[in-house]
Amino acid sequence: MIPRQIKFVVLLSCLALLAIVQQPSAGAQQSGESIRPEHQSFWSFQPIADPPVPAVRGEVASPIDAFLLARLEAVGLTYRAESDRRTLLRRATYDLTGLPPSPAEVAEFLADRAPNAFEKVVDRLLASPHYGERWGRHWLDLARYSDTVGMVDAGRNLQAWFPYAYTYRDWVVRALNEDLPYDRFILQQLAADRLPDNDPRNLAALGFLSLSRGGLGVTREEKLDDKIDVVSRGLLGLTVSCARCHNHKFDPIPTRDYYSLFTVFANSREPEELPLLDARSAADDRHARELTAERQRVAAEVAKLRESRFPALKALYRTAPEVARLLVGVAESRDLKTEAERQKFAREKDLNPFLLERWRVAVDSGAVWVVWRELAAIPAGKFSSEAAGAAIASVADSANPIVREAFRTPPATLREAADTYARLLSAADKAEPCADPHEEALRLALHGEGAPTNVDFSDYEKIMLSTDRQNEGGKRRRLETMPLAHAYDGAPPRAQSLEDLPTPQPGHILVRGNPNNRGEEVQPQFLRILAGESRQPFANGSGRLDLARAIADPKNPLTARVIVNRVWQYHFGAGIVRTPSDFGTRGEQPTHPELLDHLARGLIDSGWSLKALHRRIMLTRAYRQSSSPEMGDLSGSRRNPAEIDPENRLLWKMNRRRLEFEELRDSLLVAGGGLDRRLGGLPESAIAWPFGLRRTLYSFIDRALVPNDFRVFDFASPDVHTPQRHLTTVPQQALLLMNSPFVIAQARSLMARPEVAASRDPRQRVRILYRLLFGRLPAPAELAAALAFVRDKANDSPPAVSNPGEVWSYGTTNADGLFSPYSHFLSGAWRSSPMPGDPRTPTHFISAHGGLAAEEKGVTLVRRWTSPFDGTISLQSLFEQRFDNGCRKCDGLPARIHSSRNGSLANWIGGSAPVETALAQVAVARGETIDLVVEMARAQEFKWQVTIRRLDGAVQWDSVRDFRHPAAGRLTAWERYAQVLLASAEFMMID
Amino acid sequence: MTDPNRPASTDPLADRLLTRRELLQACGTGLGSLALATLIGADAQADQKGHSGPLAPKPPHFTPRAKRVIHLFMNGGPSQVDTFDPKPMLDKYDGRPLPIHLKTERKTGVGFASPWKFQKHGQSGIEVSELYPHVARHVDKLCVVRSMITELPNHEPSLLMMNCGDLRQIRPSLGSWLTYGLGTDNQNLPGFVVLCPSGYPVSGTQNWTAGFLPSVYQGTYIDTKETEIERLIEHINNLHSTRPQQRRQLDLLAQLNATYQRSRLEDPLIEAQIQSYELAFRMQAEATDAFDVSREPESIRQMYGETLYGRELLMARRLLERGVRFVQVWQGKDQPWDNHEYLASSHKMLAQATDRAIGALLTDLHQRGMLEDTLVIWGGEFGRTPVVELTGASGGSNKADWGRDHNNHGFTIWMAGGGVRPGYVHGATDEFGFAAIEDPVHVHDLHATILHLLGFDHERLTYRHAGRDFRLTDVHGSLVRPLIA
Repeated sequence: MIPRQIKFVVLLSCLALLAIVQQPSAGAQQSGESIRPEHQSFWSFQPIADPPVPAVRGEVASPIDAFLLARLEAVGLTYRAESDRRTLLRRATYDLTGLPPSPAEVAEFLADRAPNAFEKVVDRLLASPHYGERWGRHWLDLARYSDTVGMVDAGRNLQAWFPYAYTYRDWVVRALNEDLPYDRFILQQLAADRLPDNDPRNLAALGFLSLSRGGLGVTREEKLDDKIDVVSRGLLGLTVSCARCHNHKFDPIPTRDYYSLFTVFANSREPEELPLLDARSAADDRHARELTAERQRVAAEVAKLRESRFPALKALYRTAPEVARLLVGVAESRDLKTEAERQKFAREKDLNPFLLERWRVAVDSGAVWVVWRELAAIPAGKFSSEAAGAAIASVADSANPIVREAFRTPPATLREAADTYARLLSAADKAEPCADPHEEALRLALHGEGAPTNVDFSDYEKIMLSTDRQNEGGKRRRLETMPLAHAYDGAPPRAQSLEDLPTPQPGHILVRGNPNNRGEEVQPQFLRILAGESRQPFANGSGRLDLARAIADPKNPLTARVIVNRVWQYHFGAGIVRTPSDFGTRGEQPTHPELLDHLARGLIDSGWSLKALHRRIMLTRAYRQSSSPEMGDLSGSRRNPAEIDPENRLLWKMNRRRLEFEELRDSLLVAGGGLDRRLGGLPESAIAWPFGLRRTLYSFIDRALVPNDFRVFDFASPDVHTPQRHLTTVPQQALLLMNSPFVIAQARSLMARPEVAASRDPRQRVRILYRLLFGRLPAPAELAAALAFVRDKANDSPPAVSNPGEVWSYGTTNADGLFSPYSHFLSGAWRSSPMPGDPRTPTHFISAHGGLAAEEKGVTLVRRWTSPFDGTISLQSLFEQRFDNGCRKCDGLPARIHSSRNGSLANWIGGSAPVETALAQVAVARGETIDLVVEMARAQEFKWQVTIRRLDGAVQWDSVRDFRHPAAGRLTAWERYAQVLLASAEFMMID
Repeated sequence: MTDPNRPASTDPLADRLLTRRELLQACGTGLGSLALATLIGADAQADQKGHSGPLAPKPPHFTPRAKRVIHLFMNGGPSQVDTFDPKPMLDKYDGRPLPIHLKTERKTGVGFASPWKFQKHGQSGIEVSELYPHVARHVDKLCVVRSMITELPNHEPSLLMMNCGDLRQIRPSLGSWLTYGLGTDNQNLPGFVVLCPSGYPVSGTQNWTAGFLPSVYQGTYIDTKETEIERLIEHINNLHSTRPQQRRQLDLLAQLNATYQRSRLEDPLIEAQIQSYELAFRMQAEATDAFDVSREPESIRQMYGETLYGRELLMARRLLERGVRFVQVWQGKDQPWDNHEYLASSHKMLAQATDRAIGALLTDLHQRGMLEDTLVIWGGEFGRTPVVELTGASGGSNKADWGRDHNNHGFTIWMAGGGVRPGYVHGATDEFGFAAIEDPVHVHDLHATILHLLGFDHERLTYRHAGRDFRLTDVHGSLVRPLIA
């Protein structure tokens, strides 16, 4: 588990650079698509062999050991001794389930004298439903799993969420638990919708393809590229995405192959309505009916909006500058023969292509345009006042006299002519017909039947501006979040599915990756290096099913090798190929190629059973050996393996590793005794208070906001395929264990566990803690240190006088004045949703210094003080509104101080100046509430500090000082001690 | 076979735990730091101060001109023709169609003369608009690039281009590349800090993402609206314990860990774990100090101005002074400079909110001798059109309502300190300020130049990901030599 990536990167980058420098045009010149001989013979493209098992001196528990020992013995090394049983059990349990072994499991294994005791453990763990959770998470790293799509509204920092990403996560867990053969596992994830007689629950598997990052700024091409990347690196260990703009510089992947896969995914789409996993649930789906009604409502509103907007939009295109620009555009584009060319021209010149076409036709006829036609016919570069004068004179008789008059002085440029025309038309832009026929002719050039600016309402979409589109988007917003709200409101589960386009479209190379530059046509088909010269185009719909079959084919040399290498990596910390998603020429060579083939062959022969693979790997001596040196190892009497093989590539010891974030958080919950072991379902916040008790796998994963706690522990990026997590050690990790309210809550829970709390004898209690956390008893020195710590009075918090925070509560009131306290605390604020950026709920919150109002009619934000006594108080209040930079129309927020007994005590409307309020004497009764109320008039931040003083001076409350995390409070010496154990290396490490 | 009721350790020393002093001595002998160095990899040997880890200071390719960077990000896109790129021709074309028209995001109309006057300043005589009286006093320190270009007139791709060198894909940001390449000089603070009040700018954390680099190189976002340290750095404060109480906890932890480590001596991972607690303990004090601007003398605070932005820049300077490698300061959440309407009043307010503090920062850095190796960058993700935008309130009869659209064809940024050529104007836009026509500088070129100032050849600062070596400038960018002093 040593983070070698960094070192390798430096090394490999240098090598790569060297290679480039030495062969400056290796990639460029040999860009042909014929497969080079060195690729034909490259190891990973060769058929999977069935290598003979080598003979070795050392004892072997399986052929795997023989392959490993052969290499070790060749350099004079061998395995370390077997790990002690406690270590072995802990390692196996974390590896397969991500959870620690229970004390009972430790005791059972230590007591089991049977020769196959460990085998029984492995079988038990493989049968545990937690196996699928642990290995499912590995798979989700590869599948860049996220519950959110990406940002969709930058101004409001609004995310789009996948309503049913979780059904994919749950499908993966179930498939692994059921030991779905790996080839079927692939088929389902690429083409569940195309498999005959498929259980509809399997449609959820398509999340593998559909959970691409999306939202603002992410183009269709990027989403398709993401799918190609996840499939090619994830399943084949090939970096096909490198061939997006040019042939792969190092591997035999021509751009043509990239666009073959591109075509496959381009011919697939997300269905308009996500399919139900269980069709029977459709019958009473009230959510689906609501959605239909909302669709109709939105359609009606948009129609109304368009009707009212249409006249203004038409008027804009009748203004002089617009007319002039379009006229110039018509002239400049006259040599462009096809409509496609003219459209491209219009895009570049920022002209409306639809109107450009209409103007082009309009100026071709009519007396109004006679002069224009003559002027526009003057060849570019020949235009001059003289030429223009002659041109005008030639048509003086047939021209509209008003136009003729306007051109009495001939224009010097065509642009000037366009400006003149625009001015004339704009002057004639009247609703009512003109008496003068010539003026009327000009008016009709804008308003007449077929005039370019007299657009039909049915063409509204062709002339609408980007801002109109945005406005309509605003109307559709609720419709867009509705399926999401439904998903989280218990609607029957659906699949983030895919389907083929009814008519597959032919594919094209996009030259240099540019979507506007279509090159030659390509067939949807498999990669040439794998499919051979005689490959046939995919013929089945989009070709996804054909692609899946080609990948899952036992003859495919990569698929089995790649997955056995991943499984090996997750067990040993490093793969046999240490670039697990790059088996190409720039990846690393396998350290044990024969072993890799032996494992791959075994996987296929076992019917692609991953559980059988785990079993084979774990029942080796290699897996069971110790990570720690024996006393003699460091004495220098033997050859030091660390000098011969410093990176442990030959596996002369087991690699130690740190718990991953999920394992750490889950283990803390186990220690606290509260882990909720239920499987599957909607995601939940892992960080908001009240602290969720479910496994970290079920945490809500937000692409835009991976929580700090996850990030500092090297959580996989939800944006891209992650073949291996980084492993860093940074002080922020220590801060979390030292200070996070979650960790402290677990330390408290641990001490409150009945078996711990029941023990009165401190020695016994320490022993129980060691048994629970480490599966062993403390050494005498550890026990002594523990007793010294818990007996030291300085480690106990002093008994609290009274908690000033207890009088405060935070929440909202509805139109009836009913107070409902906020349910969650997150990032220093009380709020209604545990997930920030939740598009279903308003964003308002209350923090120490103030809060954020939202626009929600009839609802108020309330910081409530409840009097703990009968008597008199004084109250000081300072209210400030926070205007963000650039706010021009910020009206004040209405705020007031309200007593439950005496009604309003003060009220004001906030503004740019702070509002100070002092109430010198207010009589209060025990239980009376003083509410600090802000109307939810608009999304607006405010600051509000209030101090309340008992007039007898005994106590003072301060809204800022008293504001604290709900989990804050006293700690006993025992709880502090428990926290130390949870932060210890022994807790954090797996030997 | 182990007896379940016996402690697992067979270490004869296990009956006596090391004291903290013994422990620290053991670590100080070099065993610990040596082990750490191997943990991190080839080029991260522990330096003489004992720094180690992925953020340990590392030398760049060649002697750098700048050691640290502060990027004053004017998000939303300030208008060049109203700030640092005077265009008298616009006065002539005010309210009239320009002879050139370029496509930007939205519909635009006639020429829109700047509401502000420009004046020459300093010995260099560089013209600055009256929006920036304080900055103008430092004009002889500035290297003004008037010919910046980027590829699209939309915020999201342009923000990513300016920060990460790519229009769309998740790529590591400039700050991440620099902390990856250089480490940072203070292990008790994050190496790359992002300051923005009240929330995120558009595109949020993507602007300071580590992309495929280890997440330790990601920018640490600080909401500068907050004044309390625990809101600034997650878990920096303990809500339950006093500092002496926590010290005793860590002493016990160190003892327990030492026992654990003794039988596993060769493993640097455990050593790193143990060290991280001591680092974290020190970080609690150091970070609290670094972010507390009230510890500055009154005169300094007044110089920056008692405003949000003044506080932000003062905080930034305190961080730079303490060895933080890269500080990015955003003017506000979302996109304050995005004045499609009401430009005259909005740009004025935005400039006023920052001018004094930026001037103070330049003075302060200069006085402390930090300016010569601190690179200051001012600018947005793009500029604005010299023509009026025709949507919303803008474009009507009331000129006070007018605004400008995004402009990627030409815009202005300036730099100061850190080895840039002072009192210099590079490149030019056309006579209206629409497009860069003289010595255009693409964002990739700017990145190549910034990396050069920090001691890197932009083509050699690479990271292997998904089968190839990536760099900030991808396959583009070239060094703009004239910008370098």
